[in-house]
Amino acid sequence: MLIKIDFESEIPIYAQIKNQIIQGIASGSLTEGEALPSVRQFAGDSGINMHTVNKAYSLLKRDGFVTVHRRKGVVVNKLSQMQTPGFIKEISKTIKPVIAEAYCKGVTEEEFISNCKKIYLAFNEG
Amino acid sequence: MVIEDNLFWFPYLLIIIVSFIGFIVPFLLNENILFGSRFPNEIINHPEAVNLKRNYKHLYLSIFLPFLIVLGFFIYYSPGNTYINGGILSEFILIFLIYAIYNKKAKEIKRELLSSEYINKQNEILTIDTNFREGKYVISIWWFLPALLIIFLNILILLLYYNKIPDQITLHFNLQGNATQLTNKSYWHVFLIPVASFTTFCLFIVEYFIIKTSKQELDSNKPTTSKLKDRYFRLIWSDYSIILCTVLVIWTFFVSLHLDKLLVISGKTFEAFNIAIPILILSTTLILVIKTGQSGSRLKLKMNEPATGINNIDDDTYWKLGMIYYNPLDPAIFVPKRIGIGWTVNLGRPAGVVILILIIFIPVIISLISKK
Repeated sequence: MLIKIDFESEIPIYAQIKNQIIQGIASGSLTEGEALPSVRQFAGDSGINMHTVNKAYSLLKRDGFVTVHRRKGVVVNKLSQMQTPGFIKEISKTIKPVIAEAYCKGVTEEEFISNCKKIYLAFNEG
Repeated sequence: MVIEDNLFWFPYLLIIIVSFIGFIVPFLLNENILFGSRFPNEIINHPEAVNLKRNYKHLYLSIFLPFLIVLGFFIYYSPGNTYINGGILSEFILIFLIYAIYNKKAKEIKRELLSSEYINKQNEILTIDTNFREGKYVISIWWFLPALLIIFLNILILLLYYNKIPDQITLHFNLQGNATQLTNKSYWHVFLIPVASFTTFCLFIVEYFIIKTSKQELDSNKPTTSKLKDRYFRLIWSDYSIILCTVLVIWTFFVSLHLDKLLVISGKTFEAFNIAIPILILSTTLILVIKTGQSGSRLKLKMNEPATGINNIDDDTYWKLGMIYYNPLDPAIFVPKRIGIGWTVNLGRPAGVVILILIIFIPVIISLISKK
């Protein structure tokens, strides 16, 4: 899977790595059991600091997206392993400022929901 | 042991080949590199960039043609190593200076073009492929085993037949393999050749690990194509390293037995191999350099990847003179060369500095010891 990093973005680099790996899993670019490069390899290949890569991987591990094996390295989990009951509550917190911004910018409820649907369906098909 | 020969044309031919490689290297680089400076996609084919390449061709030829002619006269009329060594040294200095000058010119053109308002530059993005090292992209290291076994065989034969080696053994020899200077037999002189052969072997192993572990550098404009090209490039050069290593070890094996009189090779055969092997190596290297280009940029793949239009990150400030990489923030120790074919070290990392010193000094020490 290709990961694209924008150094001038407001989103921190560790978050860019983490977000893209999660999106890769959702879209099917990364499949269950697939190995990701080790922290050292990722850092050496990209020129990104090891601590930054480590932070992204630790968060992915904490949230159940990957497992760190001693021999196999960093491996993508089963989708069932990632599922957390009650996650919708957490989402509400994350999405609230986004909805507020959309509201102020004049995006209607229909527009907002149809856009969300499009993105969700794309992951479903992928 | 030193080869003493009277074939002036042979080192001269090597000098000519090196100057030819020096001439073509700037045209074998990655698509968006101009004399070691990273150009955005929007301006890499700008008339000023194209003009700089033409200008370089004229300057290079107008320096090197007279240089080679004058050097040829000196080497022809005054045999010996002075003009040959001086010629090789000044050749490398000249190539270095020309590259440094054109790197500076390229950077100036880039600055000028980007500050003009007509060019609307796309984003700079770093692209990494998490599957870059999946599957086979270098030959298995086990293919080094035959070469290692031959070195051990060499040492074993010298140990077993040590008594049969004459009391006076060859120290210096000519192209035909005849001794020009003898020395008293000692373990030191008998085992010098296999030890040197083993050191060469170790350098090839280091080279193999550089090919295997060095940084991936994808073109953000066509990431998948550049990934595949780089993987083929590594496969081809790792294959070639192992073949080269094995050929050198086998030839050294025969030379060692011949010099210690355990095996007799006729003068003509010895001379033929001594000339053919370096010529074969140089011409194969030259062909591979032209066919692959830096990071496989010249390999022809049946790919139709649409260009993203995205630029790579401008990292010119870390490339001193376009040739020396100094970036303490980059965890990578081995990175693709900017002007050249292959890899170089990151001098911003202490490990990089140590490895560079070792790679330079081991052959120097060996050649000094062997001249004693």
